[in-house]
This record gives sequence, structure tokens and C-alpha cells, in this order.
Amino acid sequence: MNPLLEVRNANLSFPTRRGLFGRGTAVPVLRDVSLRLETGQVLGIVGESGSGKSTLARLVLRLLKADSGAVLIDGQDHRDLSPRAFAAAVQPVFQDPYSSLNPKRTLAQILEMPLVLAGDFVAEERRTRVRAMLDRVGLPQRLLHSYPAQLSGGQRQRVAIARALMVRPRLLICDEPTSALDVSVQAQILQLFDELRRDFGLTCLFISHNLAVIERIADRVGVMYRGQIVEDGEGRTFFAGPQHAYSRLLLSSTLPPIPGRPLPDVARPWDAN
Amino acid sequence: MSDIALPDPRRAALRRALRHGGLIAGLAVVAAVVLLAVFAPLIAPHDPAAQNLTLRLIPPAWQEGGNPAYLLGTDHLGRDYLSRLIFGARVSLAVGLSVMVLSGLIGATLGFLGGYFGGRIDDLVMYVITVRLSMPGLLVALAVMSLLGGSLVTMITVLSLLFWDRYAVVTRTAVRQLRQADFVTAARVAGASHRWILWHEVRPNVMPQILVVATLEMAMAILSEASLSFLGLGIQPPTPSWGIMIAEARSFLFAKPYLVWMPGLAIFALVLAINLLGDGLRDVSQPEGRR
Amino acid sequence: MNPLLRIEDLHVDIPGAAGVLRALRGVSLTVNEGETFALVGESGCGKSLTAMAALGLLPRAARMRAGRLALDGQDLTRFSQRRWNALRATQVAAIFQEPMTALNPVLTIGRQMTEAYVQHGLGSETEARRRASELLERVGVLPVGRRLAQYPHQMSGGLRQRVMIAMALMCRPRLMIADEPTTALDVTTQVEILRLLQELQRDTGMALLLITHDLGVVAHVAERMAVMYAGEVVETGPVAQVVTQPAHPYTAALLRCLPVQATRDRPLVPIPGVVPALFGPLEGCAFRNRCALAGEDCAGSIPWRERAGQGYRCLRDEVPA
Repeated sequence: MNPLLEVRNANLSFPTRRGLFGRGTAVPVLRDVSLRLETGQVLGIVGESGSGKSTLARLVLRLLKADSGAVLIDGQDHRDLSPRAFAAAVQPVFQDPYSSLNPKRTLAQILEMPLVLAGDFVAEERRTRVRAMLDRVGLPQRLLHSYPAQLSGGQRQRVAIARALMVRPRLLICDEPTSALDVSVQAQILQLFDELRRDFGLTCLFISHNLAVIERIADRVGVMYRGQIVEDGEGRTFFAGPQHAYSRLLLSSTLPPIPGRPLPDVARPWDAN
Repeated sequence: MSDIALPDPRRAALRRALRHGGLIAGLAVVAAVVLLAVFAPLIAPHDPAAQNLTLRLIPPAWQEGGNPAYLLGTDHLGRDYLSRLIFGARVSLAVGLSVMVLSGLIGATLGFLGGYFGGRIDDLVMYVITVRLSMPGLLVALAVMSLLGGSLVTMITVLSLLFWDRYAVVTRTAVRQLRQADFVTAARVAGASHRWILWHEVRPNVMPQILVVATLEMAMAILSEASLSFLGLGIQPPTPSWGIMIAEARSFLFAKPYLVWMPGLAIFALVLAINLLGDGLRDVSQPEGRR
Repeated sequence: MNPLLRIEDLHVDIPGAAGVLRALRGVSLTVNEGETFALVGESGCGKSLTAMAALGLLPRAARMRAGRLALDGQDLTRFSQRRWNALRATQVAAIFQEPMTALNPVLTIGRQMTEAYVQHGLGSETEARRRASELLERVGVLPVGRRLAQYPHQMSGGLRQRVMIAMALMCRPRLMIADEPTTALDVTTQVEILRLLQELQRDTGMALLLITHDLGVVAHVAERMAVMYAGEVVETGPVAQVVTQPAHPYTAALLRCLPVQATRDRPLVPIPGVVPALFGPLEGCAFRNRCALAGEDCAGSIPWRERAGQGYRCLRDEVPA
């Protein structure tokens, strides 16, 4: 049985362009990254900025091409899938709910878009599905013909999630989906993810810098550091006793709202040289 | 779940537009000129080309020796000046609108291609823009028009081929920014073709900016037409054009100044109105969408 | 403990196309000398605007009305632009979330650090450079010599924030206002910056007004705090008390919807609904449309109450944690 998503020894580097004629050097962003995600599971990826976690998401989404290695969706190289087949399998949710919705299109247009592109639905069916999805993500029907500018940040993120779910994809790629939101709104969106997982059996690659969020939502955790996955394991085991020094540092750096504790020590002895 | 009902952005823009004095004034003048031009044969009291040498150089009706049948007087060939001004609006608008649309098509297409695809295509677009910008526009128009001879079609073609640069630059910059937006990425992942994305996701977001450029270009084309016609390189007499009218009145500048300032004022008012309209559109369309 | 910054009954109205926004509605708080005071709330609650008022940096359109706005006994409500400039150069300093917007991209770090110092007559060019070097060394922007000649874009986010802090310290401020200073940073860098701020406070005795949405940060660094909601302070008191026994339902709700490590089995309870629009007069408790404890009495006027060092604006005596 193939895992739904498998990344095999992916390497990716960005060329730096120096002037018109100068030769750029390649900066490695992903270094021999491998991971497996089984159907129905949520894999949380944590790491600091520049660790390569967003690049990993963009690689899986076919927005970037690996220098070597492969990304397999259900055993098939994702580059071999037609745009339609890929769209039906994998959908993204982004961080910034302001940039992820076209300001000039109504909610109805935004949510219909994936169905129009999928091409298998008549107009009537599309409308029914859009209305059902609005209900599902907790948005009132009367917002159907409003524009993104009329919504709050949390409502926009609900729309972005709804759009991703319209074609019932098998895999959701979420890149920091709650990081731009207030905590009270973040809690609403996390609750929505919980419900959607229950209803749709969602499989999800969930990227976040917030370990407490990852702990709540993920079955498995991967820690990225400087382009590598330095630790990868079952959620509870990981949070009970992270093995890699960087994982431990990350875990100790998150500050719970418990008064009377000193700030942790965050030295990186392995970087000293 | 309760929710904030913020105003519909379109309705809000409309409300801002209705409260914008410059926009309303500009729109009113432009609309009036358009109506005059369209219904010129019905409105004009006389045939603009009919000469009557016995009625030469009648001053406007309110001046000494004026004739109420010729409200704004007559020119040196005895043609009714009001009728010529009204028909002149047709030429100005025809050139202004055609050049606005044609140069817009050229410039916006280049801007879309360069801004959206980037890379080699963008390098090429930038090169073409640079070449165009290094040519003195009006001077080239002068040279080409004197070579080909003036006519309405030639003038529109020449001006359209010259005045697309601002469209291209503005569109390219706007599209480049939009290309990075997550909603474009989402459409790509959903399987949308580049054509679909450009039309449905990108175009609606750059239209306001293109519209503002369009007004500027229209004003510019009208001025260019008047200049070229004034120099005898544009519309050929006896077609009434405001530029030609000024040229023909040159020798009467001191004796009959109204022959010069009337068409001059017409050009000034129309161009000012179009610019007011453009400024207004920019003000109204700006505070939309993002924070 | 001597009060350093005193704000009493601060109102800020911002007229706009949609009407007058009552952005701050009677905010009162006191920051004592040498302490860390945290101002907490979600976006749009008015916490940054309160800081801007204390810095004399309100947007031009804003209309301010205050019962009292005083720093170390000086009445700031009648300050001219010149006196505000002098105050910001010598007694109050500020750092912000995104240092890149506060730093001038075309000037070197050294130039930016020394310019204001010299301009406000705090010392000579040489003294300014010496002090800048000392401070960069102190905040860990090394090697100092090279860093002074660098431009902001040549540094990482964490380093830039350290530069901002060093720059803020040039004038030996008695009060530093830090508006979400670590929000844009990675968790480990956040801890480094917070530790640095703590050490600097210990060294210089300055007070810190920390504006943040992060209750975890507050619990670790602040002594006292105020919670803001919809332009009002709804609760204030010692951090240890407010965070463990919140007296206002909003504070309690905020804590319940915060994911905290190692509490996976405790359900997150989102706050239903949204913040009311702050246009026109607002009667009663602004949180009542989202509050589980709300009753009809919450639509009337709500008194400010005090209990064991905690102040709060709520009619209920018992708030389940």
C-alpha cells in the first residue's frame, strides 16, 4: 500500500543571480528531504524561517521543481499527473487570507472556480455545492455575493479552506494557515480543521512555526532545520521526548502562559565554532 | 455566528465617485462633448462646410455687428463657427477614443505578457519599451505623417503605434505584483491555464489602473491631433478639426481673436475634463481591497 | 514604586468615511518606574494606538481627549510638536514589530544611530560613535566595527531588532515602548530578544511598556498587565493573578482558546462571534455579545471594580477559568 504522499530524497537549491553576466551560486534550500504521509493523517512540519518548510510545500504543489528526488502522490510521480488530476488530488491553503482571495471576485465566483476548472459540473450542481460548502465551513449564505473586502480575516480563511475543499481533494497542503490570525480566530479555524478531518477524513501536510498548534492538530511531526528534516516521529512520542538537539531547543523556546518561569536558555552549542 | 457586514466595495466606490466633485465635473463635460459629437448633424445650425463669402468674418452674436443666426460668428470663408466647433468634436473624440483603445490594446498586451511570464519574455518586452521610450514621440509622428500624408486613419494608426508605452509600463508593474499573489497560485494549483488566470484573476485587478492611463492617453491623443492638424500634417481641410480651425485663424489672431480662442478653449476644456475624470477614477478606485 | 507613565481616561476618535471610529474609550493605566507592564489584546483592540498616544505619534486625523497623560509628572496633553520630539529623543524610546520599516534603508547603521544623538545635543559626534559601539556590543551585534558600516538589509530580522534596541537606548530612555517587538521573529530568536530586553532593564532601570498579543510572552517577562478589548481596558493587575485567575470573562476566554503545549486533551474553546463595530456610542459591556455569562444587566453601565489588586470592568463575581 502506497502512502498518499511520499517525498523521496528531494534536493532543491535556489540560484542567486549576480548582475547580468556574473555567475550565481546555488543556495541549497532542501537537502535530501524524505517523508511519508498516510491517508487520513496530519503531518505537522515545524521549523524556523528559512528552514525550507514553505519550499517543501511549494515543491509538493508543483510550484517548484526539485533538482533531484521525487514527489509521489499515491505512488505516482506528481509531475506525471495532468493539471486536472493533480488539482483533484492536492489543494493548498495559504497563510495570508488577504492575498489568497481575489479582491475583485465574489465568494460565489471564488468558490465555483475549482469546479469550473474541473469541468465535470453543470452550473446548477456547482451552485448547490458552493452553498453546501459555505454551510460546512460556517459562513452564512448571505455572504455568497459579497467580496473578500467585506469579510474579517477569519472569514476569509474559511473561504480559502472552502475553496481548497470544493473538489474534495485527497491531500491538503496548509502553509501557516493560522499564523496571520488572532488567537481567538485561530481557535475557530483549528476547530474547523478538526471537524473537517472528522467529516472528510482529510489528509493534511500542516506547516507551522507554532509548536502548540502542531501538537494539537498533527498525528506526526517533522522538524526542519536548514533544509533538512532532522527529526520525524509520532506526535505524542515527539512531544514527550524530542531526540534532536534542535527539536529540544524549539520545544523549550515556546512560552506557555504560565507565570513565574524564567525565560529558557536558547544557546545553540552545535553552532558554536 | 454573527458577522461584520462591511459595505460592498463596488457600492462604496460608487458612493465615493458620486461625492467626488472633479470626477463628476469631468464626466459631465466629456458626456456633453460626446453627445454633441454623436448628434452633431441634428444640433449644428448650419452645414459646417457650407461657404458663403458674403457672410465672411461675422463676429459672435453678442458683439457689434453680430448675427443671431450665426451664434459664434463665421470664419474667413463664411462658414458657421458654432457648427464647425460641434463637428470638430467628432474628430477630436474619434482620434482620442481610437488611439486610447488601440494603443491600450498594444501596451496592455505587452504589459500582461512581460509582467506575468517574466524571464525572457519580460526581457524582450522591456527591450521594446526601452526602444519606444528612446524615440521622441511627437517628432516621429510628425516625420511619418509628412511622409504618408495626413488622414484620419493614418493619424490614428501612427499615434496608436507610438503612445502605448505608459500602458505597457503601468500594466507590467501591476501584473508583476499580482503574479505573486496567493490567489493566482491557488488558481494555478486548481488547474487554471495561463489564459484563464490572466483573464479572470489578473485582469479585473489591473483594469482600474489601465483605465486611469487610458484617460491620460486619450487627452494626449487629442492634443497631438490638434497639434498635427495645426501644422497641416493631420486631418485635411475642409474636415473641421479644432487644430485646423486654429491654424486657419492664425492670420486673424489680432483682428478676430475669437476665431483662435474658441477652438482653443474647446481643446482645453475637453482635455481638462478628461484629466479630471482620470484623477477622479484613480481616487475612487484606490482605497479598495487590501488593508 | 513611583508611577512613571500615567494615562487616565484616554479617548481617541478617528473620523473616517464610514463615521467616527471610537478607537479608544476611556483607557487608564500606569507604568511604574523600572517595571515591565504588558498591554495585551487582539488586533484592533487599541493597544498600539494607546502606545502611539503615549509617544505623541497619533495619526493626524485622530482626535485625542485625556483626563491625564503624564510622564514623570510632565503633562503631555499640552505638548507642542517640538517638545514631543525632544521627549522622544531623550526620555521615551520605541521599538516596533518590523524594524525594517523603522530603519532607513539608505543610511548605514552607524549613521542612523549617531544622527539623532548629535542633533539633540546629547553629545559630540565622537561621543555618539563611542556610545553606539558600546551599545551594539551590549546587544550582541558583532563585530561592531563592520556592523556600523552596514545597511539594514544586510542583516537578519533578529539582528535588525537588536539594532533597533541599541538605537532606542542611545538616549538612555526611562521608558521603552515595545510594540510587538518579537512577533515577526522565530521562537528561539524571540526568546533571545526578550532575554536581552530583561537584562538591559536590569542594567539601566528603565521601564518597559510591552505591547503584545502573546500571553505566553507576557507571563514570562511582565510584572503587571492590562487586557484591552474594543478600545477599553477590561482588566488589569499583576500578571501572576490575571493569567491564573482572570476576573474578566474576555481574559478567561482568551486563555481558553490559546493552544498551549502539553495540554492537547484540553479542548480549545473558540470565542464565538466578532468584535462589535466601534462607531457611535457603545452602551454597556462591549464583550456581552460573545460572553457566556452575559445577561440583560450587561447592557447598562458597567462599573470599574477592584478585587485583591485586580481591577476589572464586569458585573460578574465568579468567572470560570
